[in-house]
Amino acid sequence: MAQLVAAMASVHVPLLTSAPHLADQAMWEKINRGFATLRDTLVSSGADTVVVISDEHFNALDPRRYPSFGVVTAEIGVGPVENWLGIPRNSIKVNFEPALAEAILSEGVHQGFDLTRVGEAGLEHGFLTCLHFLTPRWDLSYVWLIQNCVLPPLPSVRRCYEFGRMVGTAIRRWDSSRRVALLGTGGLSHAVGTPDMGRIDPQFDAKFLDLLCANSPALCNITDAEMDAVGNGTHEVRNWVAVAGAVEGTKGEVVMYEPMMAVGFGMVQFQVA
Amino acid sequence: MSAQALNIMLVDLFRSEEAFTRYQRDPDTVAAQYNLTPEEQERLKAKDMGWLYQRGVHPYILAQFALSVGYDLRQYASQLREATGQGEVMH
Repeated sequence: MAQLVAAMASVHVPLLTSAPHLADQAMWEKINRGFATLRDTLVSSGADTVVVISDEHFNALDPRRYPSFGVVTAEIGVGPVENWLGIPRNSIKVNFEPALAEAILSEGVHQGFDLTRVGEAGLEHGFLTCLHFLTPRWDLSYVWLIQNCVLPPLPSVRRCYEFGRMVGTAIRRWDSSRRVALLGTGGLSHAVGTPDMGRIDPQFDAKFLDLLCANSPALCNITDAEMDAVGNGTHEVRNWVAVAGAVEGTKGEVVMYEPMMAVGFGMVQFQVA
Repeated sequence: MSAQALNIMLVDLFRSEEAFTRYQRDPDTVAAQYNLTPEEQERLKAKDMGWLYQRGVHPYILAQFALSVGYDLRQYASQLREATGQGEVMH
């Protein structure tokens, strides 16, 4: 059976590639150290497949058709779709791992998740930004799982934890010798496209990171109202919660946190044996 | 029409260079395909982000449209703050 060998989460701030000048040298040192830590974990785990849990910002999905939970089942992914990401449009091609995508789809439906098969999906910053730093040669295989964090009604935080738990089970039950890493992306507190863009709430972030790293059941009690109050982008912490669900019972550690670049800029990794 | 027509149109524009070029050449014809109201058409042509936001365009869609047409996020946020009287300075 496949092994889940690493679990981590990071912000997917598109400004890192679209406007890198917005971080000064000291900020870049922190950012690069953070990604280097996650990259070291990934490399030392021997992961050959990365399952990314992220939302999708209407570059592939549509405001008329957006599932609560989706799995990209294509064999190949090409991106970025965006023309503003600072990475040439459609210059990145990745190999997906459709067998694992299908295994997650089957496990999900079997467990009662109305998980939607998303065939092809152009790659966008939710999927790409962290991997641009973590696997810059794009030489692993990937799975992209999409959680709706952007188009209400959103699945509850508890449901996202349960979704992650199911994903962990699916990976461990997958009949394969693969070593699989899990990467949740997005958040932490921030606002996207609203007048309060630039707003960050370090208090919310600290509370969230405490609960996440303790892998506490109280994590599931975080409400939409709490997240709305600190910026619409904060809903993306669901992707971190799902990672915690996949490694239920395992503690995490904060790799870095700094309020900067208009976001509570953080990274965590879980102590997966 | 609802803001959903604008949402769908903007998504089509920022996803496809070809669609955006077509819109730049003939905005009225393209907008008519989405059943935008005359005011929506004019505000979109003027890239009046504050008005479009207040009209109800999804903030993720509006911000990405702004980026795709070369807006700086500070400029975008400033237009929204001016239109709504809400918000704070970006960090």
